[in-house]
Amino acid sequence: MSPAQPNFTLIKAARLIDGRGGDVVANGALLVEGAKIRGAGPAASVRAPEGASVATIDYGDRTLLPGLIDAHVHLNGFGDGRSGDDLATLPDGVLTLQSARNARAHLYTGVTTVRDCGAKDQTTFMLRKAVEMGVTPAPRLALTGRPMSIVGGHLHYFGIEATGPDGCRSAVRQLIKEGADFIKITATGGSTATSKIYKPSFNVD
Amino acid sequence: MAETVFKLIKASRLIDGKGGPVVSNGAVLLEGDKIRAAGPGKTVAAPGGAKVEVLDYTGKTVLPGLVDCHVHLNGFGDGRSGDELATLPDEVLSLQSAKNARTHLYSGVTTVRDCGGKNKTIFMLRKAIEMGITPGPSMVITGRPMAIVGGHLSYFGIQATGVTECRAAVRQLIKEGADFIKITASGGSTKTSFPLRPSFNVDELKAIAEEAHKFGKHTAAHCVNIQSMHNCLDAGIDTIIHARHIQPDGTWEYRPEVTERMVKQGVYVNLTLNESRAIVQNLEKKIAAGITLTAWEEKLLEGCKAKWDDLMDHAGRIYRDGAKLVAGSDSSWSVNPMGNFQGELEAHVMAGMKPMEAIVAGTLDSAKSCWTDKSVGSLEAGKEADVLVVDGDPSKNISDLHKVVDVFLKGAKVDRKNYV
Repeated sequence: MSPAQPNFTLIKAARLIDGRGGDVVANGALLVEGAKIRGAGPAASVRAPEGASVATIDYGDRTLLPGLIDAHVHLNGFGDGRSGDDLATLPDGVLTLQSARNARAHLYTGVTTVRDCGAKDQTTFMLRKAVEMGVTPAPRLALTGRPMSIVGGHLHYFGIEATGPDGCRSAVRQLIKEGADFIKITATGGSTATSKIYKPSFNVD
Repeated sequence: MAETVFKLIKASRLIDGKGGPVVSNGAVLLEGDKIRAAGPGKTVAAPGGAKVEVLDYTGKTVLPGLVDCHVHLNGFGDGRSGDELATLPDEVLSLQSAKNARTHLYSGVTTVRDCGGKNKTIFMLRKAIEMGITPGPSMVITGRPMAIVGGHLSYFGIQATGVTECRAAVRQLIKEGADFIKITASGGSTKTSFPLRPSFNVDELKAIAEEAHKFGKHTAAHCVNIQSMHNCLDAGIDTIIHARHIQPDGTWEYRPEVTERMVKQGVYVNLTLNESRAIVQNLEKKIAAGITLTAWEEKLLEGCKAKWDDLMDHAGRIYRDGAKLVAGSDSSWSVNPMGNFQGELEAHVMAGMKPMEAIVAGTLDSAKSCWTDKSVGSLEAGKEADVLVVDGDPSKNISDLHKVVDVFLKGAKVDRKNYV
């Protein structure tokens, strides 16, 4: 069998925004090789290697820009006014299904990366596994799993409370073991019924 | 005040799901989520002055939404064994179940009976569907299927031994929300089970059936050998699944007296015929695409090819001997993914059924076997507005059921294109 042909796509549009705040490029183009960007800039400077087969998509009078990155989402949520305390009473299976629905909805609106700032138990890790298996589509996921809170603190109902430096270190290690990409902390109270919104929660140590 | 919304569905042909003759120029009137009237177009009209949305399907056939009395929503249909499937976490299985439910609904199936999933995964899906999180057909569910220790599907989470444990297990499933009780009355593909032997004893099966019936629930039992069928018939089980006439030495031998007992007792028979055909089709596609089969798949392919003639011969005899056949696809088990319930109906026609009989086996009779025929399975006033529109005439060519134009679930047209 011959080696797999490199798969190039050339995307052209009237304007290109690079995401770094540079000037808008008139008549921009983007060269995609498989899953990666190979080149981006003025159309005249973006070309596939000689002899490569290229599919061209011309968007005419439209604008190209990077997929959006939403640095703060809660995939578990319903956005229908229910409190987090209520939300956390739902079973994990249901919250995972809702997370899949939210992930899909956000992806379809143009968000290609999300950072999930806290969810119940293993629900977002389960979503990630299902996405990796091709069960459901979603943006790239940066996850904390459960957010860290003090006893009774904001989001404590999602399943991880810690007290003292040892308790905190152990909780961080546990989350990383479960696959966390970052650690979300609730450093003050919030909407959680048992938390104190105007007071700090964790101490500095 | 919310206005009652009527939909008038007109089509060149109407099939009622009860086996009556095809009605030319038929119509179905939907009122909200219920069927208000169905029959010849001239006799079906909304009340005077009511607002009606007219949907004209000239050249097409309208029939009840299909009822698949045997699915496994947990499955992937990609050749993995049940033993492997059960190692996945519950939430992943619930997500896969949602995908399957959507696929089957989009293909025209508006009611499914799930014959067993892991732990609470199927209950979780039902809750999510009720909450509007994900679309799916109406579901008749058992939750976990009942098995003996190490028996077929025992990895899904409920094993029982003896009369008392069996009663307790039934009560537990009903407490969790089961609509019926699925039992594996013989072994099957599960590694630690014995497909050529029965599993539960008759006293255990009797206890399960009595306990389920006491609460108004029905029972359906997996049987892939002759003795397990006799046991279920002794015990008063309502549906016999697979019904393979296989002897303890593995040879096929049709026993008319088994079918005779089924007919006499009014037991429903869900033969799951298409799985073998689908496995052969799907694995041959893999080979054609240059994909190497796993050892398990190789064995499966050989077995399915070898048993097809016996299967068709026995299915034809069971049909001709008068058993009440009901169609259930057994997807997405094995290499038999969701969205092809039509294939099961085609296989019933291949075994000797007339197309109209196969349609009834996949609508009203299937609903009867799921004890849901009061609300679904036919185009009759008062039932759920579950309606399928297809191109062509499936009463002449059963494969026309693949040509799905629109699906209505509880009066709402299913958006089959957008992934909601």
